[in-house]
Amino acid sequence: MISLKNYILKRLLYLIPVMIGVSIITFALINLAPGDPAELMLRAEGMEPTREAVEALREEMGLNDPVYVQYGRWLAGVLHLDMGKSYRTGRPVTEEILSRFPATLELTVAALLFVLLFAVPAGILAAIYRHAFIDHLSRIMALLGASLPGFWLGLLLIYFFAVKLGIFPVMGRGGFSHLILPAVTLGFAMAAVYARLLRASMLDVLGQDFIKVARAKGLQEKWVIGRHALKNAVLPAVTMFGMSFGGLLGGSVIIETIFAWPGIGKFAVDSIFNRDYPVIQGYVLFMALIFVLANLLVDISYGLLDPRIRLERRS
Amino acid sequence: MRLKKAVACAVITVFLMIMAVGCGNEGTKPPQEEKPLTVGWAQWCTNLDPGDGYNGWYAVEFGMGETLVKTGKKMEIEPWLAESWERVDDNTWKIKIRDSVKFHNGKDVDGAAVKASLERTIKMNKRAPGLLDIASIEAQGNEIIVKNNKPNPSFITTLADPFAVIVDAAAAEEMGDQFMENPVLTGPFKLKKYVKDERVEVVRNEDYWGEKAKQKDVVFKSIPDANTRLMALQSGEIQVADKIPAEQTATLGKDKDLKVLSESSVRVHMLIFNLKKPGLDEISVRKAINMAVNREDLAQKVMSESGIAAAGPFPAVLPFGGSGLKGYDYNVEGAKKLLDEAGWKPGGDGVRQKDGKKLEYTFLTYKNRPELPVLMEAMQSQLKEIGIKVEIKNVENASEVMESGDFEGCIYSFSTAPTGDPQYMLETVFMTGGDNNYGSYSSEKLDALGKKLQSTFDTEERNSIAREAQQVLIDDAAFAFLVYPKIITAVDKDVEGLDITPTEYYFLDSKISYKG
Repeated sequence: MISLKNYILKRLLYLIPVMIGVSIITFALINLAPGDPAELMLRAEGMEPTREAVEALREEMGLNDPVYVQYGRWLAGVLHLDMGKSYRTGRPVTEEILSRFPATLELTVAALLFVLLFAVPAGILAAIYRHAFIDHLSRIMALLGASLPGFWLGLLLIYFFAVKLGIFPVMGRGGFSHLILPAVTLGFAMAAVYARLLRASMLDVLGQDFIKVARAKGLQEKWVIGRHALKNAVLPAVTMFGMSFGGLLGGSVIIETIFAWPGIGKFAVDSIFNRDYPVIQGYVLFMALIFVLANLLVDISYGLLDPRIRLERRS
Repeated sequence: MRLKKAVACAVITVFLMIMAVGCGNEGTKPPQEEKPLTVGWAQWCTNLDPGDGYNGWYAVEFGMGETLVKTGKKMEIEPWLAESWERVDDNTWKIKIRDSVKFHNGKDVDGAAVKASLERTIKMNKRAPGLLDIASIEAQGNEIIVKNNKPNPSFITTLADPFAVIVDAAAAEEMGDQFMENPVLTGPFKLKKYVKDERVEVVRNEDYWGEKAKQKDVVFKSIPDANTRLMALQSGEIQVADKIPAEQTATLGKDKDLKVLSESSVRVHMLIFNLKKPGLDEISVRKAINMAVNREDLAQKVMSESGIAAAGPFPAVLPFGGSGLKGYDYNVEGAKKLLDEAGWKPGGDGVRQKDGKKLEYTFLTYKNRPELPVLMEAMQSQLKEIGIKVEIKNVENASEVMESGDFEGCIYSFSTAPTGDPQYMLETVFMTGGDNNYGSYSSEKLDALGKKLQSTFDTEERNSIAREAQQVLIDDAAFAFLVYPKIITAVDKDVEGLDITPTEYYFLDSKISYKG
């Protein structure tokens, strides 16, 4: 297991150049984009600011310094664990991100759960009952999932389940019932894709020799599917799963807006519109960290699922 | 076995995570005697400190914050926390505060408290120092004496800007950052609960100085998406939904449980011409454009009746606005004739030209206000009728592009006079060299009127100067003023006493009640 520790350590060290690279690219991009944070701050509700006021504010915010000076100042802050303060709210960026992240995480995890609960049975059943009704149904769902835009599906679900049937609340964060519609909306596209992915790899595995051997030796079908086939079929799905976690986190932006979910996505978008540089930087860095960590977890879980990968790593 | 273990671990972790994040939520609320009024709000505050940025707007909307004066339904200045005011000399104002006003913590609001609050605003709000332009404030009992740096006739109206909400500055000092989530104000409602990004719950202030509120509990919820706001209204989760898109009003009108309230805003959508560009530097071309635009069509059809055809920059709801001005009537033939006389003749492609120059322009628009690109497209086809070809370009930050001078025309939306005074817009948008005079318009006549306004204190006289200035703008055809958009709010039929005002930040007051 020493090698696993080293491996994790090495991966964590890789984080440093990744983070620096990400922060430089973000910094460059937001500075290239049109829009002046000082002016946007003063304009907020449609009043036109005077040139003097904008200039004074730019000076105060240090926006008149060369970009590399601004970046240096920001980086020095980060090294002291200070990501700066939001232009818009005046609060520390770390606090702003951490206070909103739990809501987004809650939504993302719920969506992932939905993906699992939907995709795993659907994928397995579609593979076992290939070309039967359930397979066609899962194919149609996959097609719908891939082609329905999230905001439209969300509005549709709200209309039927909240306005017409009154089963779930229309919007907001609260108890378990508040979570269902946004989680289904967020997870639907991915669930549909996963079901198809799992079906394909199940079919692939089911055609292999060791499955025939298992069946020939008289093993019960549930063991053949559950132990031998699924375990092998699940690997490609795990890869996707890790990557999608980040995708779901990022994809929650629109869902958060529609369901008035007080998460980090909407806050990030508002910050982008307002050119709230410290928040954008902090957000991108934070998301990059999560992406990298999620991928690391996936790599580690490979070893647990497939001993061959562990051996490769060791050699 | 290992797989089982891993799966079990994963499942347990996921549940633990959900439970951990779920701990922050409350369960169901205990039953209440009186139903709270729940309001769905499109835009949201970053915190509740009125002095900070634009958060004062929300303090006033939520019925918690009050300023010294307010703008009434007809946009005239009314007393609020101030009982009266007088101009001692050109630079000095004496303002008398009401006797019985108390902060939500029970402290009296006197001259010293108002002075401290205004000084706090000037210190922390970026817009305040320039607009208020205060040299000194002196407190005497229940009065304050304010000295301006230079004569400032719009001083009293500026006090209606929500950044000047009167707060208990001493409490703010003591509470530090806590004040942002628990401000001490004076309004008919006080804060019950604040959940960042989510909702604000307010409750009737039983010690209010004025008429006590009819409604006991009011909850404001942030619902940024307009469709969701409407569906929340239809499902009964909220009773008021603000900023309803015009195209939805027809559907809502059919619902017997709902009513739609609308009122002109103090905003204008207008076309800014760059007067330095060939063609647009000719008054005949600009006049022709003004005549070719069918404003009624824009307001009624393109904006589904959620706009009012404009004459000048200021909406008719303002005492110095709209009515009485001689604007441009829709007259395609007249416009064509005007262009013919000026030597702009239709070419083979239908586009008019003169001396090798074609009447071909790129006009900018932006998506922040979704109706603007649509209005621009409608005008594109209206202008084509008279032989002017318009390309439309969507930009993200229109003001920045215009500032660079590299543009020909742009459709733009201004909030003209939120506190009911014309001076700010005349100075910044229309006077020579004004900071937002993007098209480089310059008129001696208008400049003289603007200067006169800067030293005129009498309201009637100010109104008449503002009207005169608008007629100059119209006659010069320096801009094309298009429509005044309306504010549309949808309400449950059981909500009573709700009055929509042109100023967007007045909402919750003592009169509103909900009998659900």
